[in-house]
Amino acid sequence: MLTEAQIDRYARHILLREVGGIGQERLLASTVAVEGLEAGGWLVAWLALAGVGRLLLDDAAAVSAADLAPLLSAADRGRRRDEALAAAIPAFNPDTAAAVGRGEAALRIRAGLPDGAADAGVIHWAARGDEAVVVPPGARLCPACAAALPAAPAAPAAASLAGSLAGAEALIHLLGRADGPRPVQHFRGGEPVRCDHG
Amino acid sequence: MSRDPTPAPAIDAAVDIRAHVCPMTWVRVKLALERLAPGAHLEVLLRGDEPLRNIPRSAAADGHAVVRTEPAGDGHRLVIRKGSEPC
Repeated sequence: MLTEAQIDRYARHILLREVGGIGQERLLASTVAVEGLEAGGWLVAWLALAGVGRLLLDDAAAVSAADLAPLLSAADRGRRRDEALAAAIPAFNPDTAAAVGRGEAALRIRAGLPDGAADAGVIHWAARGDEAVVVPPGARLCPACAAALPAAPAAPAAASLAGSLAGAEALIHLLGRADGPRPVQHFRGGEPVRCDHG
Repeated sequence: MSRDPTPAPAIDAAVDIRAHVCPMTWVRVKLALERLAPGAHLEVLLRGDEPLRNIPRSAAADGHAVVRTEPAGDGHRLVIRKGSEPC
């Protein structure tokens, strides 16, 4: 049952037909594993903001300038990404417990594109240059679109867009609202990309 | 109340939203309805014109029925019958 503080915090979710108090309790009871956190601050922030109850973070690489937004500060540069983000989450949403490492999870969010179709229970996401891609479970990005992705690290706008889209995709699955296969989302410069590779 | 020809339904739960303002009024009623079985009756105590207009509208939009509206104290008492659609 939601606490008084949670009713206030999640009021806008409770109003939504697709979430409600029952859906919010489901999110609070969920564990999501986030594998790969390069430019992943926005993704983690969206999951925590939504009240996902537990995050398992896994990325031993060092925090760089591109990883800071929106949860970290310059003082975190050089720390492990997973440790720095896990430490930042309680102040952001005390309902979200964050731990470092791997383990059982209802859903996995994996950085980078899948080889072929994404596995069941796994959402892939990528932000490169000005492009943002989210591949839901069972979906695949057209190989020609994948090959054409820029090699450059994500621009800030692409990282925040990809993170928010991957976070929203995760909520749809956690809430049991994914009725059948869901499409790949692919944006360039903030605009949807229409694949014309046949 | 005595002129109402329909018998008063048995109340299964109650929620007092007199201390709340929109949108928390409907948030509280929606949470209370979620905990009930379809067909169960929720008593709602409210104060002011805004919830008197909006709670019945929101309830109807989610498939519930307001089966009673009457003055109570300095506000109103509604009885809402929970619909069968998931809300």
